[in-house]
Amino acid sequence: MRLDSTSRVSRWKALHSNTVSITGIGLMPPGRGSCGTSFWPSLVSGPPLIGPLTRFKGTFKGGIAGEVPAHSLSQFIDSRTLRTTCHAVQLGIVAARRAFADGWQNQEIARFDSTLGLLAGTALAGWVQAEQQFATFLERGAARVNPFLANGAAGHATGGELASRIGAQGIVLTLTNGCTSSTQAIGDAARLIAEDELQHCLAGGTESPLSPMVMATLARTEELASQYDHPETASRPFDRRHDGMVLSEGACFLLLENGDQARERGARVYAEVLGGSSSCDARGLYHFDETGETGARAIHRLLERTGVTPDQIDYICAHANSSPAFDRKEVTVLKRAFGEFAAKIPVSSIKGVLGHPFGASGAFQTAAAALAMQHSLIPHTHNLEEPAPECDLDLVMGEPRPATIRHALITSYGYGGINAYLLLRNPHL
Amino acid sequence: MVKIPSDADRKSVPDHSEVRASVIRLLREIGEFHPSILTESARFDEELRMKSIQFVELRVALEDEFDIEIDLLHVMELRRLDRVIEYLAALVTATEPGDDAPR
Repeated sequence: MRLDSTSRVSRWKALHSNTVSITGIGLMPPGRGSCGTSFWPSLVSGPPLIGPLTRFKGTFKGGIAGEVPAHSLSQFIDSRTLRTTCHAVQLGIVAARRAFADGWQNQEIARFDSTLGLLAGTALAGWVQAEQQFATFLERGAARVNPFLANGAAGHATGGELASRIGAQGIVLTLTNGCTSSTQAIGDAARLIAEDELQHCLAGGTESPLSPMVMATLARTEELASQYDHPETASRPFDRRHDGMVLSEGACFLLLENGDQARERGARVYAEVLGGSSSCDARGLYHFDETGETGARAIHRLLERTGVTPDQIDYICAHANSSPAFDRKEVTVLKRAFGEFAAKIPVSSIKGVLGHPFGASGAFQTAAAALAMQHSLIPHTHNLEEPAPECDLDLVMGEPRPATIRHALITSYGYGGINAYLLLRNPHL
Repeated sequence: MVKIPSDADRKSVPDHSEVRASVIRLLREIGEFHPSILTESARFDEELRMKSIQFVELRVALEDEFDIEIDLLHVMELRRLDRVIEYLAALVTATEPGDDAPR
């Protein structure tokens, strides 16, 4: 028997009776210091965390990137882990540990190991190490392949390795779904907590995309920003001069927790995750639903389930990654979803500062939105000077905008036409 | 003008004590062994009770560190720590490139 809309919403709410609180944020952003505490100041006052690509030289264009300095990892990761795990795992370890420490301060993870879940989103997992190991295989033969890095490059290894280094023995999943990976990881983690499958969960994303092959691939499809003489202004979401993305590496994890548990122990709550939704344009790897209908449907479903109306959304932390195609899709979907109201909801992208860390971007956006709620301040879109003609939304540009944020929507889009969304609530209002 | 390699330019060959130090350090990292267990006569399959995957990890680390190729089965047959170190030290010496002659 097919339920009507009202009955579906009622049943969904009955199944998802627990609130889900974000009680910890852990960041390993690119750029100077790679200190988690530099992230929010960078969003509100710059400078961007992007610079010239130093990891390797290539004959392709696009020598700009958001890099995590090597010494930043060696400060936090022991030599054995550095030797036997992929770079994405190493970034994730730092971010996940920071998230847990932020949420539980002096508690040991071992206290929770049988109940702590971990959902990790990553588009490329250990691609960099796989590429390097294949080069070793060709140059030096099979006898010199490092099995820990070659096998550890697989998608599932990201979550498994992270869980083993963190000590999470609950539900552990790696979501490799392109640029929407961490958005969906957070949404799924929230659902597991809401359904009482988990009490707490580290959810987020990690990405290490800086490899010659990845850069060459994106250069071949003309998707990299071309203003490499000016790295700090190359990533220009929504801007008239946007011409491509700037790749970044980094990791962001959030500690999600059963709301009742968080309240009982007096935890600081950054925001609540009301829910997530997703859809797929299903038009191929590089083609989108030009009407925006597929994405809009997923947004409508999310609002319907959570009972939030468009006029209650005070901030959209957008995917917009400075690629004209993705920036245009962002606007199309939001207009389709909200109609005339789309022009009234403040929108910004953090990728003018962060660059685009592929599968980890949704987690960074969620952290940014949660911090925006805490600070009552919407970070502006850096390098947005003159909006592209089709980007006619209420774009926060020039400087951060003070705002009381009751609800924030996070949007994510990826190759293959995958759309993913999260809705956050400010519990302090 | 041909650059004559100086002593600083030539890659130094690790001596026996350096090889031993690396092996001990890696064993402590990989197996978390207490130093008191890592005696010269310690046997991998008895005192150390190393798992096969730990052998693999040790082998990969030593190969990368000294740029050598290790016969893992031979290492496991040697069983004792001092014999393995002797084998590795000989391998390092035999594998290192000779001094570049000035041209």
